[in-house]
Amino acid sequence: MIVKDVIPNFELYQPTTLADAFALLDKHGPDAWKLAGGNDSLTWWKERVKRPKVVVDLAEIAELKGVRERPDELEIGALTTLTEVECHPVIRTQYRVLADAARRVASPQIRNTGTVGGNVAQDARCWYYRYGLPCYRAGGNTCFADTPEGVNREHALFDTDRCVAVTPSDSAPALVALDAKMVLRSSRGERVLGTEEFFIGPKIDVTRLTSVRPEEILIAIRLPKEWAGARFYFEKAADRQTWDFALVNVAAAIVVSNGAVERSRIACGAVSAVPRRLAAVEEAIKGKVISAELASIAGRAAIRGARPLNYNGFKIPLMASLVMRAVRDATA
Amino acid sequence: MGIGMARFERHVYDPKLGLPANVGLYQAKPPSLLDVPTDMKAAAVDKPDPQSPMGTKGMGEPPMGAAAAAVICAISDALGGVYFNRSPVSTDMIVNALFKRPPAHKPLQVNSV
Repeated sequence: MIVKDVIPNFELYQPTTLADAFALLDKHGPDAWKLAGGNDSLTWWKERVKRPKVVVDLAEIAELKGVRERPDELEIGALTTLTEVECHPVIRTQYRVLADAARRVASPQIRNTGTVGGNVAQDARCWYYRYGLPCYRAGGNTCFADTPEGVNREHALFDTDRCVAVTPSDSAPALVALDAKMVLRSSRGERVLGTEEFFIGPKIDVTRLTSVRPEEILIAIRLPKEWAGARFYFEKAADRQTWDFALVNVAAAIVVSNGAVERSRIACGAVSAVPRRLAAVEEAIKGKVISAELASIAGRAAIRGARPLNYNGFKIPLMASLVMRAVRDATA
Repeated sequence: MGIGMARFERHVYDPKLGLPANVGLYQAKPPSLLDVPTDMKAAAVDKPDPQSPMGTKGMGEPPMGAAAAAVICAISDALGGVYFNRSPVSTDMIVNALFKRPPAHKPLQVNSV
């Protein structure tokens, strides 16, 4: 029996500049744990499942915070809190899908401390993994969720490979819909990744959900202007209305010109390890006039290829309904 | 409490490993302020209990069963008469019933070991 009462000791560093943070990450390598809002990190430590030797607290680095308006994009610092994202006037008016998604994350207290960077980079919520079992994601060689008796109501429908955990983030599908660019920086330079490269599934690396390397920090998220002011839709289906992870969520950005869909980006969370971009749906509605019938076709296209596990078959009609509503009800 | 019993608070174990699945409050899901109706009506059945010396009845926790039954009856009614015969009636059970899918949960079993 593991005693789960206090957090094990670690060395705490609180750098005030990015250069100092990179120096610490380079010095300690994979032993270092990057701490942002702490909502995910502290649960891991409290349960004593993960025991970092070194913690680098990023909260004192001012340049990681705040929203900056640029001529061709909006840059959100990775340590901007979800409440700030939710309430920011430009995000609310131009990129409403992200504000709506941020508003549905957890509870007000968690949104006040939780950061947008932490929300997209948080770890999987598979309860077997969180329990500390030696599964594939934890570096072991078995999956406890995908067994004949595995309790996997919250798990994946698509693109599973050994691990069947899903992305828990609400803001991630909204960022996929907005074609956000994720800015990763290390002492060796900067990488700007699209959401399709930033979020990675178990086929690429079964132990991580994002392509952030140990020496790198997600410093900002950039929203390009081309989706500003589109028709947006966000909906999260969860057991309860607060402090709950999505059973399925959907985010859509649809640009309509002359009555027909010109272009769109639609993504669902909590159905695979990455926020699943629904290219088939985008293709199916392109050039069409939005109607109840088209929305219903979109819903059916979304679930093509879904493979349910023991307990998560309900996610298939749920996902079809949410995508149907996203196409039907997206508003400017 | 009754609403939680009717809708959210599941006891989930992995049958093979015997491990509890919902050890955190975000997993056990007691209902929050946003999950309960703002306007609730309660009434007492005005009859003394013949089993107790003064005809008294329990207050506080004992009416929980009635509250849970009221919520589950409302869900069954909204679904056109689907009887779940168990609690809680979680979101996945409602979605499966709504789309006429077989329920994911297995029949109740008696441990005869």
